[in-house]
Amino acid sequence: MSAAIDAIRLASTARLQGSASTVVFRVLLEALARPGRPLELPELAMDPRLPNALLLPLALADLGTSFWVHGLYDERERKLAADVVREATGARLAAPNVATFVVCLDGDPSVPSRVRIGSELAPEAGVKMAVQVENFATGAPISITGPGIAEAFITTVGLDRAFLKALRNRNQPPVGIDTWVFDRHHRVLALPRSTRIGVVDDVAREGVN
Amino acid sequence: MGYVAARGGTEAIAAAEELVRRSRLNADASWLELDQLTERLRYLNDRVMGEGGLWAPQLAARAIRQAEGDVIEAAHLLRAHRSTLPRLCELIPADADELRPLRRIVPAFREVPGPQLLGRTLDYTGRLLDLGDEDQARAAAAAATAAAARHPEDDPAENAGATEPPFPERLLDVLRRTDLAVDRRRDDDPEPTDISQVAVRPGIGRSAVLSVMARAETGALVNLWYRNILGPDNHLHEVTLGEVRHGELPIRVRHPRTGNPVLLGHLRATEVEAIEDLDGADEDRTRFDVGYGLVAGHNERKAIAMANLDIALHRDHSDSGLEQSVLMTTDGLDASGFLEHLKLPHYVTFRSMIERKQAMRTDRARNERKGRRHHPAPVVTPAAEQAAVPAGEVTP
Repeated sequence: MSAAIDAIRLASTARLQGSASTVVFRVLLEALARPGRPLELPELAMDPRLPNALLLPLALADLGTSFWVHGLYDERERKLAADVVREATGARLAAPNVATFVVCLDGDPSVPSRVRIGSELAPEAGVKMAVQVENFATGAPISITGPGIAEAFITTVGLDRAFLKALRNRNQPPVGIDTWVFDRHHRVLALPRSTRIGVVDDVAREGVN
Repeated sequence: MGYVAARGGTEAIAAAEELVRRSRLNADASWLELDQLTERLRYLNDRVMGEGGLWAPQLAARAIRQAEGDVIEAAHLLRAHRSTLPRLCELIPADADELRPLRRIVPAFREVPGPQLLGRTLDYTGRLLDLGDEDQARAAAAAATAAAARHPEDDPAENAGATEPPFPERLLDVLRRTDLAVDRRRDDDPEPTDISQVAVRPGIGRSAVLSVMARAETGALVNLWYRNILGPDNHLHEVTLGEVRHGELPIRVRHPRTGNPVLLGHLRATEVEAIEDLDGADEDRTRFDVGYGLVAGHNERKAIAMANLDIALHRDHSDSGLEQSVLMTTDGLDASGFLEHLKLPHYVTFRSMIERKQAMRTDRARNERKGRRHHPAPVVTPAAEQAAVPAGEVTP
């Protein structure tokens, strides 16, 4: 089976029909309201070979938006993922510095510095980014504070120190990157641009407050 | 504008929400089916689709039922729903000449190309509340419809309906042929502005202005039309309608793989061309100009207001603020949203207003005391009154 036909077949499982996109949207919104707290994703018909991080563009992208899929290690997976999103949503593939949605399949720390963060006059132009990780239990410990977090807490989100520092450096509200992290256990958590991320070796120096 | 978010009273709000829901679903009356709205209240349904900006008869009917007949609320529900829908494809621009007329009149001219087709219109029905026996009337109407189905060629009511292609030429075509119309068509064909993506502000292109009017609240547009059918001389202008059409417009897309046009279906629309007599000092007085209106569904009042305002805006050269009124004040959701929010708690806003009043009063009393001490009450003459410094700025 050719890669193109494979993409079309997979896209038919990934297309969020009827209210499914609304249901995913509600979960993504809820995750933004409670930064760092994992939420269960709804049951969907999507082929299990596709990474859940694609749900961000699958639920929110359409003909009027653009996206980019980043993956350093598996070019075939990256290309297939991009074909599926394009096929299922009609969104166009664009360069990382202009795309509305970015999917990062591998936590490459160069990604946050390559995407757009908007400007003070147009903060809405900041990218919406999905990152695929294996497991929230791994990765560098971070402390998070900010809107939606009653008390600062320390957690891991499956991302390494370099990525988290790069993300933190790009987030200067109102500009920045709204990030959703998806694990392989059908869960999602959000790190909106308003969340202050303290990477723990820094936290140890500055103290958590 | 900074408004303070309402907090507290959550239980009361939840109870009110539940009361609305329960009363709506459980009223002591037979349930309102969607086809009753789409078929029996078609003007209402069309209006909600037009103002909501989504052609979806069944969804509009649901919105009307959920909003319990509140038109703007229903349009709001529909437009909110629309905002959650993905854009699946771009339509091929529809050619208005392909509108299959269910009704077509040319009030300006008797002998036009193509028929004058009255169709289903309230224009000539008596405005008398029909208090007759409805059962009898419905039986008679059903019998007449059945008879007409047997002999459609003899039936005047049926023949007042749809016409088949070829589609009638427009009065505007005649005017152009006889060099009586200013030609403002352009070749560069700019992409239309999508007003659901771009905030419209004065100075934006005509496509955006037309889109705003097509989605405007009918009453707001009619009111604005009534206030503004003025020419450059500020006299009320007799406006003549060149075309009033209601019909079905074919909607096509390009097939994503073959690139061929594919017919998706039809939507009903009302189209109006308003002919304007040019008589301004800087205008070509030997010709007419034309304004254009096109709205979803059957809504002639709105389409006529739109066509008239389109030409009024062109003639106005942004001199009178009309453009601002059209763009910024005719959206039903916008206007009613702003108005309705006044019912939300404004406790903090109002308290700060009270405090400002009290502070001013305290300030004035203090200044008056100081004024009395330092400046014993002078005899005020007209000249002294003019020179008097405002009380708040008196210094010792």
